[in-house]
Amino acid sequence: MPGWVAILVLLTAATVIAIPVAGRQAAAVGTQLFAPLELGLSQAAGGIAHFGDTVRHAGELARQNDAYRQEIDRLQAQAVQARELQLENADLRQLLGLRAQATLGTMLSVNVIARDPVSIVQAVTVDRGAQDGVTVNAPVITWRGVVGRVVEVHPSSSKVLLTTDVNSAVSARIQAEDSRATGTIRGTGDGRLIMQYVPREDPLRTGDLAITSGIGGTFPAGLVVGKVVQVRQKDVEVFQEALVEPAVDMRNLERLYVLQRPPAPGGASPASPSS
Amino acid sequence: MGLVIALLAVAALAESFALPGWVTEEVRPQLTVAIVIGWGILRGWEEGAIVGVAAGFFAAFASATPVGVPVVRLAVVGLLAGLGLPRLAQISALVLFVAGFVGSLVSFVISVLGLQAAGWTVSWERDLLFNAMPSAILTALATLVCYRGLQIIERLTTAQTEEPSL
Repeated sequence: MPGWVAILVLLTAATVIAIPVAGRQAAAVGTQLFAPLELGLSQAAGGIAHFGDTVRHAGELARQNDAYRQEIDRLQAQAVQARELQLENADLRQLLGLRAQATLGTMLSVNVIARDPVSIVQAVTVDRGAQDGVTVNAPVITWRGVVGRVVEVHPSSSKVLLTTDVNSAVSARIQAEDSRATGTIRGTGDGRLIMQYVPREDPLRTGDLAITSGIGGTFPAGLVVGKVVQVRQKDVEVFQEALVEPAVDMRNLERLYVLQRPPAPGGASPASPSS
Repeated sequence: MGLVIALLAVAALAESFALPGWVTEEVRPQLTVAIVIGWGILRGWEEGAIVGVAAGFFAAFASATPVGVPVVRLAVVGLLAGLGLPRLAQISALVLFVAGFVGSLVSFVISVLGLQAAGWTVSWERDLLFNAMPSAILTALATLVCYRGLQIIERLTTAQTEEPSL
């Protein structure tokens, strides 16, 4: 192959890279082509893995099933009580003239179809996109807690930056009887989180639960982010920080939920990579 | 070269494959890097760079990073492999292993620099030791396997192009 052809290809690639809009459009076309293949592969692998798990843990599954039945009965009773409390709460709110607290909004069920091939970036691709109403910055959760936020949307797929990535930031609050300490939770890149900018005078202990504070507007308040596993304080510093174990096991992400209606804006949004 | 580009698309899909329990596992062989190095050695810097650009676009399709980062890293790897290695008298298994190892680390360094240039935060010190190094060893092993496969593809494609036209 003559050298000028290679130089021409390199120059074309350089142009696509140098013009971000062209680069994003080229990637969007490719992502559209890749998404169905990724979905097919992930479904096939998921099916095989689930079948293997079912065969290996048949006895354990039967025991779990019994336990779950008992748990369902208990939770159904609790749900009835919760409904009563909700109605009572609504009545009392009306009496006090308070505005109803913002709800989570619609939860769109999505499946993880690919992970980021760049190992230093903790992101996944999910099988729903703009056609299903997914928007950039939409929070992504599981029933255990926060997973991340949508950073890129394509017609039928989206890319989600996980909270464990160093470029993620979530405004958080400690949920304890004697502490409402607030701070910012960032990913450390090694699968853990770090809560920073917590004033020294605020109580912060190992085992405390960190939840979203709602400040910033991207994540609604009250979602579980993780549990404090270590507190770090230095005499000379104004702030203390805590190592936080994520509530969600990021290695086993399969079915997630995208919150389609973001909460009302109330401040600065979390840090975002300037991609 | 068309067959190699199709192979790169499959390799990029395999790299982004989200196996349950392995979604955020960071130590992995970089198959695209192994193929780009192998083809660069076999066909020189021109084709090394072209397949590098193609592999970069395939990697970008599944990545949340800016498009340019994977394109530049794989194009540079293909270019370097094609410029330096074909001049060696003999391409032994050791040369391939070292090429795969170094190529993987070069790819990591370019990713870090590219992401930082694009405004991303990268905690590269820990990643270099615990992810990039073990991944480079796996990539070096993958390069040994891929090179043999690419030699067969090259022989087939060369034989087809050298057939006299009737």
